[in-house]
Amino acid sequence: MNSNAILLVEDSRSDVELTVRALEKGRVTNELVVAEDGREALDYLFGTGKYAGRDVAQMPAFILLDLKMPVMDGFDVLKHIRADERTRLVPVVILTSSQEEQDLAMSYELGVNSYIRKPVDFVRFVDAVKNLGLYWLVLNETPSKS
Amino acid sequence: MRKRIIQSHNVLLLILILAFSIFLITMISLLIIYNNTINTYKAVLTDMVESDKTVIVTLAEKGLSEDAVAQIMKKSHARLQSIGKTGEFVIADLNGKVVTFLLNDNIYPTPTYEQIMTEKAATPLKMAFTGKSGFVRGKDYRNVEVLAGYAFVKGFDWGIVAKIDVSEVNRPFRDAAYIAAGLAMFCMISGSILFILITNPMIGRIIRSENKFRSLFDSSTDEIMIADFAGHCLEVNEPACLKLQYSRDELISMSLRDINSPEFRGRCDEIIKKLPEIGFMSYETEHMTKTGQIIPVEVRAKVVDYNKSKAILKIARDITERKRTEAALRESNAMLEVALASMTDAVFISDAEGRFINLNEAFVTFYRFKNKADCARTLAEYPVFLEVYLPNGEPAPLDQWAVPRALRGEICTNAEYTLRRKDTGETWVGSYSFSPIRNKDNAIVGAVVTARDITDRKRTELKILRLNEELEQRVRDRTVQLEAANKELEAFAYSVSHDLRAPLRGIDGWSLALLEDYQSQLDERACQYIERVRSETQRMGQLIDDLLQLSRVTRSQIQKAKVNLSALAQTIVKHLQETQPARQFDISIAPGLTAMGDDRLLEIALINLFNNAFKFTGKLPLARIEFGKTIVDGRQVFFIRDNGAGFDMAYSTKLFGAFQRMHKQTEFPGTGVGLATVQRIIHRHAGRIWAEAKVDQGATFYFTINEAS
Repeated sequence: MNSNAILLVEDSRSDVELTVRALEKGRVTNELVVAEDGREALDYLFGTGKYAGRDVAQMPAFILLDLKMPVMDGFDVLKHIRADERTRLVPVVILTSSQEEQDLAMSYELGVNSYIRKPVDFVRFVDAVKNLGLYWLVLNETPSKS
Repeated sequence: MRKRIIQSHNVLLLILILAFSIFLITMISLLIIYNNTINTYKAVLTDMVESDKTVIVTLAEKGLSEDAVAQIMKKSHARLQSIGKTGEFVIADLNGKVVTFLLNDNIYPTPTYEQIMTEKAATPLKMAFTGKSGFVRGKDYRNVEVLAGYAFVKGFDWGIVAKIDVSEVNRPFRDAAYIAAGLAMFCMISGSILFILITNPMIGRIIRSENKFRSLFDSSTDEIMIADFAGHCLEVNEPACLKLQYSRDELISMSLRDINSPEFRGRCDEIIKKLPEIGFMSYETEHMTKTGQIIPVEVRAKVVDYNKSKAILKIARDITERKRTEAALRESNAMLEVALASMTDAVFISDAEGRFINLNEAFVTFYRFKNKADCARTLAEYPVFLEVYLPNGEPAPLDQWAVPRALRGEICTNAEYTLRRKDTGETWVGSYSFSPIRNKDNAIVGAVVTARDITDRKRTELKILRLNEELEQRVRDRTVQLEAANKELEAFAYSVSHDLRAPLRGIDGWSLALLEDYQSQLDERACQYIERVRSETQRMGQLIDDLLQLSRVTRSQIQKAKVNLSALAQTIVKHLQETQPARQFDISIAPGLTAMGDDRLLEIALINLFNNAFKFTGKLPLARIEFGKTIVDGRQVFFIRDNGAGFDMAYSTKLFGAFQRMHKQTEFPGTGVGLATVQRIIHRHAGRIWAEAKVDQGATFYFTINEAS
């Protein structure tokens, strides 16, 4: 059973807050869980570390994943998510400043569901986040877990 | 041959003469016998008439009358046989004019005295009437020639004649003469026939052998002459006449020395003098033709028997061709010598046994000999003072040296050997080329070898090799450095795209947050400032994006394929028009424009160019934009033309530099990176890009693709 939470994996404080703001502006009211690096994100997903004891049956509606992070970067997190039976089907949206071709290719290679490049213009960023929420929370149908 | 025939004629003539002589002797014999016979008749006839005269005179002296005497005479003669068939005995009385034939068997009709004396010749009787006695040959009363004895009896005046026809006397002789002539003729003819029958095969044989000899004589290509010891030509053959251009008769009238060229005449005289002693000589000389042409000849002169005496047989062979060949050979040998001498490569020719029959000056230097005389001339001598090594450094056994290899039929160019003189220790490298020499039966009869000292070249090659290796190492080092630099650049680009943009986004986001959340506390000016912060931030974001594109254009691999530029342009233009729906456009895109290139990069280039065209026509009521193709200097050139703001060509050199701008930011905003990106893409496609423009009269950008190929 999935929760309605959105897991945001982002190390930049400013970006986290801007994303929060963008989600608010876009009227996405779901619970937002923020992991500041990849390690923390995995802890949350698998109920380890500081999230020990969390009900891991409750998976986020989708994950917003930054690529460039200290300790464990977005690709490593993605690999783990897709490798584990429990998290395999959770939609992952890459949300990054990079528009490098290789990053885009690598992301899809590892099984990402969407790739969003954060624009510098905040207004456009809000638009992007709003659309994202609309798509993944409202329109997208996910296979129900037995 | 003509001579022989004449000789056989002579034999026939001889036979004729012989036969004629026998005939003549027979005739003379006959004539002598005939004369004797005539004389005998003369004596007999004379005696008869004389004895009758004596009888008559005796009877007359006894006083008998003329008639009585006539009767006695008649009776006495009646019993007498006539002398021959035509013999007659006549007594004619001059006075009584009576003729009495004493013989009974007178076969002729008896004529009268008058008939005899008047009409006919009757020479004997008329002679008798002259009163003399004697013998006469003359015609009688019948006008027939007779032999007659006559006498005259005085007193009675009687003429007495005893006669016989000459024809009767002649007949046996004439018959004999006829028989003799017939016999002579028979002898002559049968002799001749016999002679011809006997000698003809013999003559035939002689003629044939003569012909054979003559045709051999004439069919020889050599000049053949036979001369006596004084040098006079006796016989010459046809080729001699043809070669020397004299007729046979002319040559035969000449001497051997005459046909020599003037400078050889003295020598000819000596040879003619010496030859009878020596018997045979062979020598070369020069003949001179009638027209003065000189022919070199090889002569064999020999003493032979000719027509029962000693003569000189001289056979001269024309050696013009041989002389010419010899001269040509000498010339080509001389040329070869000069060519060999002038060569810087050592050249030597070996026979099949490894004897060096020819070597040049360079050979001396190559093998480190002092001079040509010092050179070892057989292969076998070389191992004594020379060591030879193969390119791999192993010593080469003698059978691996150039000459034995060539003699085994191997053809080789640039075989390398290292050589070392054992005596001096000097070492050098030789590049050998060798080939067998074959005769016309394809058998190997020798070898030709050339060798070049390539020690210096090898040294240089080694140096170049070392330099190349160094160079390659340097290239490798540089490549590694370059790769590192590229990696750094990539890392830099990555940071730029990520780390530089993130703070920008923060500045923009928080500026907006400030504006939204604290608008009530900010005056209008503060709000304007915050807006300016935002627009500058966004411009910087654009700048970073453009720069990243530029660096990506430089770094990315080009994947070439056929790109439909027309279709690409259509898509770009459609998209641009959608972003500016309020504007009026007159856009023409030539169909079917294609190029070999990387579609992503070409798309970026076209986007930038069309972007510019759209941007710089932004102030016009109607923007005219054209994409097409033209031919310049036989090459396909694409162009994008607009009727926009244009620019001053004085600054056209700056046009394609990064961050170079031709217009104020307030007029036409931009980062100044677009055309730099376009130029880099075109250059990466081996093309050129240039522009033509005038201020306020539009600009045309031309570019080529794959110009180098």
